[in-house]
Amino acid sequence: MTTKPRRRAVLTRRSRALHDSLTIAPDHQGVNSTDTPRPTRPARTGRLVLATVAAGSAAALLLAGCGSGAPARPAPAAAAPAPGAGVAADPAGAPGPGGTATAPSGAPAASAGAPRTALPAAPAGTASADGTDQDLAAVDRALGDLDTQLTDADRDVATPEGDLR
Amino acid sequence: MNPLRTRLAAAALGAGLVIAVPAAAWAGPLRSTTSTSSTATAAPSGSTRLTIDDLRTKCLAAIDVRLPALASARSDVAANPFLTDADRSALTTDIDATTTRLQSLQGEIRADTDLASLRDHCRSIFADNRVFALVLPRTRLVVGADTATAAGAKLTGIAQKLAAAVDKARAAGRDVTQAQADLDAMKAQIASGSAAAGTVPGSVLGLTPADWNANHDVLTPARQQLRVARTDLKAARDLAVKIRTELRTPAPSTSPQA
Repeated sequence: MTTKPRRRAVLTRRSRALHDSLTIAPDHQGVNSTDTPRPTRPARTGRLVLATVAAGSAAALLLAGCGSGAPARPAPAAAAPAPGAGVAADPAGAPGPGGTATAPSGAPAASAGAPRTALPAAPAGTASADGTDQDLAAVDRALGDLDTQLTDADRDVATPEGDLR
Repeated sequence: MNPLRTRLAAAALGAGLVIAVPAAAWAGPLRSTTSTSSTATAAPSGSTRLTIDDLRTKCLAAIDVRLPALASARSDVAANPFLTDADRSALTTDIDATTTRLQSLQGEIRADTDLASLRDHCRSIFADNRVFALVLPRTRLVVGADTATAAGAKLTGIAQKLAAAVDKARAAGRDVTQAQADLDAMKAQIASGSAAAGTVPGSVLGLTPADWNANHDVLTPARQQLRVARTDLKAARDLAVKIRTELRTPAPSTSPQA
């Protein structure tokens, strides 16, 4: 007979653990599962406005990408060296000895825009042609200008005249 | 309308705008941005006036592109140090005459009220002037030719100095066989290049737009001659450097063996 109250106490302890999770604390009694409108979300009209603004921005970007149909033909500069022209390989403005490039001096460079050999300094006790350094620099400048003129002329000739039909 | 439908409608509206607005802009009629002809006295119909305005705008734009290009070429001709006086004068005269014609056409095109006159004036911009096809490339070819001639003269001076150096080395007992051969080759290249460049001005300065209209390749021989000149003069320049290197290399010692 003495074991009955002890067994009941054990059952009570076990059942309390089972029932604790079902107990709603006073702090959470106001919580329910009913849907309520979220105040931070924009209203339907606002969403429409946002979508319209986004679509308009995208349309403006596309319009900017389309651009005008007939761009104006750029006026060719008469003496401006074109990028990649022979002048680039021919530093015409480089004055004095050693200012002009790198090709081997053994054979004449037959190709246009071929790199130039550096002008070596005269060692002591050797024959030299005095005064040719500046002359050769002037020749380099002139040949560079010639390259530019030829390149520009080729570009002009290759450009359609653009007669209106 | 539930939220899902609202979102779908907004997305459809956005996509429609993205597609429709550029399409509408692309498909829209090209309208003249100038009002120069809005006071036309002939009062043509709406569709005809649009056509005239479109053509007028295009023609004026064509002139607006050419006039600055001519002005730039004129400045370059005036400042170029290699041009001979005769060639500078001929080029300047050509550029000025073309500029004057285009400026005259500009006024006529602005005043045109009928389509036929406007078309004639527009055609004249191209057929009677040939700015890009003839005037500008001809200017560059003549400038290039005179530049090549100047380079040839400078190379001739260098060759004379090198010849003196070769003679001096020979007198000192050095073997200058290779240097002398290179010097001879250099002189030949200078002569060839200068001759090729010298033919260019005379072959292109007399050409007219009518010549180009009849034969679009009228400038091709001059361009080829100028390329030959460039190749020859560069070869001469490199030979000059080679000769200098040969002359500056110390002679090998020839001390007798014991």
